[in-house]
Amino acid sequence: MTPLLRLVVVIVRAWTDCYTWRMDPDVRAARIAQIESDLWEELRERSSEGMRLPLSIVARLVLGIPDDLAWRTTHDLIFEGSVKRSAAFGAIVSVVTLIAAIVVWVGIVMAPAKLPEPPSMMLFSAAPGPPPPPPPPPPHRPPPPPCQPPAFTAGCR
Amino acid sequence: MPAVRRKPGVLLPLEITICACAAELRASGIEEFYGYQLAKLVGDRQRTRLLTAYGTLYRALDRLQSMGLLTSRWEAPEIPAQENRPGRRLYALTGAADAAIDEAERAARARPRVRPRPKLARA
Repeated sequence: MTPLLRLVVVIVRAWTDCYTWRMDPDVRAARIAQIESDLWEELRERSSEGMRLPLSIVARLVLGIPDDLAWRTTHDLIFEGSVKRSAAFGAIVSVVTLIAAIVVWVGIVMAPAKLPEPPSMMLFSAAPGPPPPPPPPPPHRPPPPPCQPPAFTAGCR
Repeated sequence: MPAVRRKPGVLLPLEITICACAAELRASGIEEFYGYQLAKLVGDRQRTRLLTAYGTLYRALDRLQSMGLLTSRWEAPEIPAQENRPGRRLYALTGAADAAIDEAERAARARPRVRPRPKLARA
C-alpha cells in the first residue's frame, strides 16, 4: 500500500469514527464494520489502478459527508432527541475532514515536477578540445623597387 | 430554510436503482449481496467509474431496510476469519420490494414530463 493510500484510508476511518462518536455502541460498531469491509474490498479489487484508487476513495468519502451527517442527525432525533449537538459536532468535523481531503487532493495534483539534473563536469572535460588556432599570415614585404640606371655624375665622359 | 421532507414510502432514484440491481443479482442466482458488490453494480448500471459514496450508499440501504424492502444479516464470523478479511453485512430483497419497485417505476412514468421552453427567435 502506498503512503498516499495509507493516508486516505486513515482519513476515511477517522471520519467514520468522528461522525459515529457517542452513538449507541452496537450501531457505531456496525457502521464502522460496514465501511471497513467496503474499503477492504475496494483496496483488494482496485489495487492495480494506481492514482485512481486514492482519488476514488476520497471522492466517495467527500460526496457522502452530507448523507453521513443526515444519517447521524436522523439517528439522534429518533433515538436520543438531540439535534443541536449533532449539527454543531457534524459541522465542525465535516469541515475538518473536507480540509484534510482537499489537502490530499492538492498534494496529488500539485506534486512538484522533478527538475532535470545538471550535466556532470565530466561531460565538459571529456568533450574534444577547441581546434588549434590558424598559423599567422607571413609578414607583408614591400615589392622591390624597379631597376634604375646609375645617375650621371659631373665630369664623366 | 425549512428542510425538505420526503413523503413516507416514496423511493428516491438511487433507492429504485439499488432495488433493481438487487433484483438483477437475485435473477442471476445471488440471493444476498454486500455493500461494495452493490456499489459496483450501481456504477455499471449508471456507466460511471465513480462508485456511490459511502454515506449515500449505506444510508440508502438502512432506509430500504427500515421500509421493509431489504433484510440484512452479518455473515458467519468463521467465513471472513478463514478468508482473512473483514466481515460483510449481507442484504437481501424482501417480497415487498418487487411491488414497491413496480409502483415507483409506474409513478415515474406517470409524472408529467417538463416540456423544454421554446427558444426565442433572434432579432
